[in-house]
Amino acid sequence: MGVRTTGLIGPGWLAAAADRGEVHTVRLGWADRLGGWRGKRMPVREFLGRAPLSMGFCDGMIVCDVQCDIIETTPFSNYSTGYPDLHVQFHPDLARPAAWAPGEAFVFGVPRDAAGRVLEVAPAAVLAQVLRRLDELHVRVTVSASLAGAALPRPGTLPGPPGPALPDASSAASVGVALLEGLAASGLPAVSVRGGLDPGSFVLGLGPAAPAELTEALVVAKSAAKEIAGARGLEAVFMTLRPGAAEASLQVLDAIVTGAPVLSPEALQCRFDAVRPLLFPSVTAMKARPPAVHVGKGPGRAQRVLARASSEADPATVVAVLLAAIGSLAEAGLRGWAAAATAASPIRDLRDAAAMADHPWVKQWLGAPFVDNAIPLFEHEAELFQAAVTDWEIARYWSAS
Amino acid sequence: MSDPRWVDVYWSDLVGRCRFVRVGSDAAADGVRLPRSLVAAGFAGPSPEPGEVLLLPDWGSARPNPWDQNAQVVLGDLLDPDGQPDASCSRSALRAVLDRAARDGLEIQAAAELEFYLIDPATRRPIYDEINQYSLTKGSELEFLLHDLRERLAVLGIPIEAVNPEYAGGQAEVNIKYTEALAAADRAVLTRHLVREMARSHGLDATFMAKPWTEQAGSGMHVHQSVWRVPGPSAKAGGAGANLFYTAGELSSEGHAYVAGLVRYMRELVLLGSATPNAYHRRADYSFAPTRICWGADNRTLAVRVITGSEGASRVEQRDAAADCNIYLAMAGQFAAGLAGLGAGWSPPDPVTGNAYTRTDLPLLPESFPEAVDLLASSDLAHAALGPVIDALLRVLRPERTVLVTSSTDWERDRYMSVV
Repeated sequence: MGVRTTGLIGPGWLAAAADRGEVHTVRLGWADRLGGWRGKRMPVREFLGRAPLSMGFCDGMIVCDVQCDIIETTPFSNYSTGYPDLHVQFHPDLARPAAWAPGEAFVFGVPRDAAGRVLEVAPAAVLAQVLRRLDELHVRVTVSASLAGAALPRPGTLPGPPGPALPDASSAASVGVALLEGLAASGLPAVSVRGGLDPGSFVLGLGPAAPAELTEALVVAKSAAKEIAGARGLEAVFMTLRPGAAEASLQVLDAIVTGAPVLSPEALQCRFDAVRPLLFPSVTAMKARPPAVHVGKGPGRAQRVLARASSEADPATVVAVLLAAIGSLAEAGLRGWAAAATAASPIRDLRDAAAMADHPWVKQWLGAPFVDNAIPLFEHEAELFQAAVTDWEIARYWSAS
Repeated sequence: MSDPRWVDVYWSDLVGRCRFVRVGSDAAADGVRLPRSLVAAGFAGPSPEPGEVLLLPDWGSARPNPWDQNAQVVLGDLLDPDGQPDASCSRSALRAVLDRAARDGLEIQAAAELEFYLIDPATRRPIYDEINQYSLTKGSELEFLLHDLRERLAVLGIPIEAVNPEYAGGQAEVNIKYTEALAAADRAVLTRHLVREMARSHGLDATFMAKPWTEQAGSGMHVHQSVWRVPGPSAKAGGAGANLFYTAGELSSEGHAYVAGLVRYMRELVLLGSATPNAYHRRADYSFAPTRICWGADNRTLAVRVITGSEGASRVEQRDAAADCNIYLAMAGQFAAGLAGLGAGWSPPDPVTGNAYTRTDLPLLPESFPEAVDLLASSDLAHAALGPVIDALLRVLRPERTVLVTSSTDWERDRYMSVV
């Protein structure tokens, strides 16, 4: 387990921690379109000597697929754009300890273009835009979340005789506990962890927190879980459906909404169905059938919205979609517009991701650049799967045909 | 540094391998005599050349040894019996290029980005498969080695800007901080050596080979470079200077002239950065390694990428060299080319935008090792700017051409043996 750092996290913390010898390396990171935590590691003294620091990264890596493949049909970045740099500014006052990784700290930044404009394809920027619009409507939202995953044996790496692929319970549990402690010691809003129904599974509770803070914490949590599990000879997995697992790995968002008209659960569900690939971004995730969106009574005059997405999905995207769905319905209600409550039909296949653009609220709230760059990513994923011969097909048809 | 007993003197041989010799501190001042057969050795083995050369420590490059407190590390220059830079000394060739610039009051600032693979020695394959560029999560799995590397490089006085997983499984990149060009080359040489040593100390291997696997990305050495006007008659005078490439956030006219030199001479100098037949497998369309001679603003399909911004950040990045090249010679060639353009005030061809891999109107970089050998041999700039090291290099590399054309490879056997 990471060492709990001394002193308060905030301005001056990083320099003081470096002086105390607690931090030697800083992770300078940002989140990609799929919630991957990307960036570079820099010696802390180098960072402090140059901070606030702007650093360039190949911009293709914010819109690439889950295997970093280049999607030529992605308009934001492809060979024709030349994959120029995106720029991220990192400020030392935003540094936090990576308490699960002794000696390391991290700083989040927002991707921008060469002129300093926030990239509209960056989920963090989309979320910020949605929050601004909610603010204009005087709708306030705080969000809690849970994130389900599992700590499992690495294939082929566990010693001992062959047997059921069940992780040692204490090891798997220790991953969850270490994750909670590590995130909390990093000043992130992690508040609980529990076991799930399946061996090795865990559910991490986070928040309530401001949406941006919460989504950064979720991105970090997935990385931290993988690192902690790896150090124990295990592998943290967030794949939505696993063979033999009773539960899907989901993110559950619990939003407390004030200032909005009464939200129709059916209308919210329609909005979620309309952008399903954003919430279930892989071939596997699309197979999940989570419970419907739930709207209930919150504290005071607030409403409480429960919504689910795949643990594979980018947290900022998921929260942005939830808030955009709420906001677009609230806007319609507040302005007396007729709410277009029904989607033609839920998107069931990533091949149909382009149907997301059929719903005006999607681009109005999430932005056309974000949506137009997301669609090719999902279509590409579907094409890859379509072209693949799977182990299921081999097992089912090889000898039978 | 507390009076170490030993001195480890490092030099780069002609094909870019880092060599060293340990001598007692008392004896080091006079240099170390080495057989020419060793210092002029190529891939095929010792050179048949007789005689000796003197390896003389450059005490200005002395630094602590991260492995051994009883020793210091120093870069050395190879001198001939007359005390002049030997033809086998690539470091001296770079220094000569930089000294000429210094006489004009110019100093080149440079940095190398080095890519390499970490390999499981048992399988001779990368230590993991998936591509996960910039992944901080994946990077954590490499920290057992890369953190160690950064710490030891710090002891060596080599500041590392950043490290990250690169665009291939098991591939990483190290960004070394900008500095004066000779020191930048020294840093890159020592870093490449240290990466291999660190990998071995962790039971792994590391390779900077240009294209280890057909299906995986190659490893390049991108050289970031800018020219500064320094006060006083010598570039060594120090003090605040001015970046000649910078003008209000754009590439200056001097920068354009420098780029013109890079572009004009890139073809004939390509061997300096791609000194094995294997390096030409790295250069393929859609590989992020350039295939055509071109330049332009921030674009990773080009051979020369112009990066503008603040005065300190304005620079050009030449992207064609392989990570396994002789770093001194690759840099010397690029700087000589750029300075030639700067001196002549040339204008570059039109900058290229978009996908340069589709621009069949642009000249191709040499596609084969033999072609590159012939081009360097007939390069007036190479001989004039780098001197006798060019002939020494060609003597070492020409046998590679013979070996190349007389060798049967596994690829050929797999493709032809059963079907022809």
